[in-house]
Amino acid sequence: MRIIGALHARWSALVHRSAMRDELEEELLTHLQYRADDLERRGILRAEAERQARIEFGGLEHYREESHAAQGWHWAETLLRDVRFGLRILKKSPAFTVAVVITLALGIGANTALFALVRGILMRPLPVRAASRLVVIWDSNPGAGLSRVGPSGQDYLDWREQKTHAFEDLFLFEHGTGTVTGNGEPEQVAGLRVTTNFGDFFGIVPVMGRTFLPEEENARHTLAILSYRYWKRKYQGNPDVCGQSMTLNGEDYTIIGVLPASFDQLFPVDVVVPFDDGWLHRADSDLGVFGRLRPHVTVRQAAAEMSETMARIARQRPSRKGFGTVLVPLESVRMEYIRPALLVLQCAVGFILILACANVANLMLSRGMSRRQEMAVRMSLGATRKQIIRQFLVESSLLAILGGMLGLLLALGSVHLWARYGPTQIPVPNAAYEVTLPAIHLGVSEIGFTLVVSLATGILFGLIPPLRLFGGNMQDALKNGGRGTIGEVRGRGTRTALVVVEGALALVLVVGASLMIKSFSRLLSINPGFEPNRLLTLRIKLSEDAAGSPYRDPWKRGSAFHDFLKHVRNVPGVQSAALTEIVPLSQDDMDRGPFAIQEKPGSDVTPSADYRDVSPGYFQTMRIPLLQGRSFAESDDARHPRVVVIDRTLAREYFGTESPIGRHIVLPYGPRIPREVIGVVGAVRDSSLSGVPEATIYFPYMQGPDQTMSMVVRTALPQNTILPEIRDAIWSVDRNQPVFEVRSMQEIMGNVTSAPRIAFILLDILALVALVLAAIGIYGVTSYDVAQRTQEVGVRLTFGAPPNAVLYMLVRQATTLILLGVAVGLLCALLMTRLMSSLLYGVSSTDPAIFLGATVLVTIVASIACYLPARRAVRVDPLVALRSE
Amino acid sequence: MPDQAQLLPGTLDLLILRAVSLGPLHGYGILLRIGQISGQALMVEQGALYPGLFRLVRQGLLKTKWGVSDANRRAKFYELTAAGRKRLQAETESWNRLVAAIACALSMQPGEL
Repeated sequence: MRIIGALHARWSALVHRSAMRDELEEELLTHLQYRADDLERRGILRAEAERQARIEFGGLEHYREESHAAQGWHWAETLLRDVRFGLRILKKSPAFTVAVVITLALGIGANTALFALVRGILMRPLPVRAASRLVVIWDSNPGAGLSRVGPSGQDYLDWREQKTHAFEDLFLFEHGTGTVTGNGEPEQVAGLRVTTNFGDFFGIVPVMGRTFLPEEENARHTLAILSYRYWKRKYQGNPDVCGQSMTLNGEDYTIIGVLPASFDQLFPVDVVVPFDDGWLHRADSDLGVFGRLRPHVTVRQAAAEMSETMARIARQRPSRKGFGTVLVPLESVRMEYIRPALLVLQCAVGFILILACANVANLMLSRGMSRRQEMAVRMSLGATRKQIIRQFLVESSLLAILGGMLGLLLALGSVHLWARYGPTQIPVPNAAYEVTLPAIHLGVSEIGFTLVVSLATGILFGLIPPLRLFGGNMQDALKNGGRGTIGEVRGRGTRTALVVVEGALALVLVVGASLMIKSFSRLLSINPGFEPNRLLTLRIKLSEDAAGSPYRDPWKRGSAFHDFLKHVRNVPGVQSAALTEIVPLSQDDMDRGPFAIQEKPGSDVTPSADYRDVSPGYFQTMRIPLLQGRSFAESDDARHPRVVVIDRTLAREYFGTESPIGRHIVLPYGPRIPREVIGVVGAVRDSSLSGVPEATIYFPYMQGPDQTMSMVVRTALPQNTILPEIRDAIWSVDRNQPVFEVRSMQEIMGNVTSAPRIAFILLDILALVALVLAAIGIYGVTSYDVAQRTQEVGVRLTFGAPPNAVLYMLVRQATTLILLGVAVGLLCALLMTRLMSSLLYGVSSTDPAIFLGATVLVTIVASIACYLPARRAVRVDPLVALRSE
Repeated sequence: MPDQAQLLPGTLDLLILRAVSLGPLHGYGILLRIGQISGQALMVEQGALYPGLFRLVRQGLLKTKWGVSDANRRAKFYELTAAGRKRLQAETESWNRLVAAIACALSMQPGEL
């Protein structure tokens, strides 16, 4: 408040300054009157007395100003005067002003937008307790090629029993879906099954009700907590929701609480329910485990302790031999996919800002030179260096603030575009998990950031011209009358540096963008192993958990899926349809395990492969080529011999040149039934576009029906036309069967390529901006240089130098600098593009063709930028040139 | 007035405070009072008074009030504030110490060392 009070006092002094001036005037006049009265009393005539009073008073004007200054708001008035003067100067040269403001707006706008993005995505802490101490714990088995596998409930129980000291607490969860019935249309909701330390682990303060109690873990409790979003949508935010019951998977659950809205950032689910004993002890893997580290324990220490724990567990349970754990902080896991893209962009916009500043500094410098005479006159009239520097600083800060405001608008527009076209979800590699990106806003800190950047640039380039000016001899400036002397080109060193820097930065950005273009086109031209166009995918989950569900019998599940498929295939417009456990590239889930080949026993390492249950017609629908043998038929069901189809990767790795047809695959657990290989299909990129296809074994779904399957439908009709028909077809089999996660294959592919796509689009725009800025900057420098040498050119032409020779001379000097800049840029690019290597696919970060192409492009653009002003100078009539200033 | 002494730098403020301490005065009045209390021996350049006054007001040592003078003119009167009174006392003491020390130094005879 005191600061505000002080500001207010200053402001009112400023506003009322004419009133205060009047007061001072009156006081001084009164003084003179008194003195004159006294003198008059001594017998001097009134007129003479007044004259003498003034003389005795001393320099009236001087003391008036000094009194004024003594009142303490002198500086504010000076500043206001400088600002007014600055504005007048800027208005007098609109072209200069507009050029500077737009250049700065580009630089500052790009930086603000990216700052908002980085802050929103990378720097926003998760809205949970001790978010920085949460780590994700995965199982790994390097021997079997498993880098990150979700642990099982048994793992969690083991770890908890071993009381790993590094962790305060461990938390187990499983993503899933459930069917809600009895409240409007049947609906598939996203669910989360959690251990009952859920509330305490994340420090959740429920909006209403409570979270689970520890004693609710071991018995089967049908309690549910709703997410804020679901509560708003389904219950219209009803405050009496706690205590109501809901039907989930055919069972009645009691709602006990509502989560805060912010929890969505961590788990975007609808309903949270506790694990019960039965679930906890299942050996299924692919659950999630988070640990909360004790304060001051590092991830490395925790990992060391976990590896000891795993060794102990392996001694007790030999089946766990070979397994280890991988620990990664939760906050970095969530963003590990997008971070490199953002960091590369961060560098790029930083370069743009430097380019913008270089251009503006250059413009200021040129202008400072042309104002040399003005400055010299002012200094000879008594202006101090401080005053001159202040004037320049005020002018440049004005420009910077104008640029900053325009930049803020640009940033606002960019953030708007991001919200519209940017990705909303990003995958977490190898983790079958996606992160919903938070919405990006321009907040107070972004505006503060802009202000700081603007003022910093303002001060930076405001200082250059006066410092350069004082380097020279002011007297010369005065004598020359602003006329450039031949041979004397002041400020040349600075401008030389600017041209070199601009060339170098532009080259780095162009190289980066070209690498991205090449990489992205490579990425898009990757054959994923299937035909992604005109494919619709949707998921169906049978409610086998419900007590009275007919789907507890696996064969009923198979026949239900069979019926769904039959009805969907009959929908007009559906070319073909099939079922698969996992849609390629969808990051839905992972199903991977060991296998053995009956005919080739005795190898030490158990090979592993992706397991996929699919229906007949899957390969045709996806257009995965059949290379050998046959694909699944309707008759490959439980009543017939077990069969599998393998992919080309597996065939090549484990069978080499032999034909795998007729050989047998055995899964080394359970009943160990040999399954005959009946066909080989093409390899499919399942987990990422840029990765290598994994060995895959396809099983006919009727020989081991799952609870959840995805349906892939090939159709030429648009999604919203065909989807209701497909739903109706499914509902004609089972009225209560929800359909969810409806996505086109294009959408799925879009998610997988989101990070390179962001980097690709933005980096291209930035490189273009950089190139334009550099061209403008080089053009500006050359124009100024040439203008300074107009007389010289005139002399040369008058004495008969051929115009082309003069032109060559002018261009050569500038081009030398550009080549120097390009050389520096090449070195920087070699160092910097390494940062991008994780974003690049199929192109080396030092691709020589790209480096060459970018060099040629930048050199050509820069050469044109210095050719144009040089040509103009040579075309001027020599006589005019001679007389020019 | 050849026997008038020039002010030592920094003493104007002390004189102003002292003059005003004897009762509220307007600017010209302060000038006259300084002449009066110094036995017309100290000369203040008239114009130099005002920057000094404003400085003291800004430091919170003086406060001002517009009023009507004995000559029936509207004038700005200066008064000591509590802080001003304290400052005057402190400055007076330190001045006296300085004067005593200098006098002592100047009156020292060679034999007395």
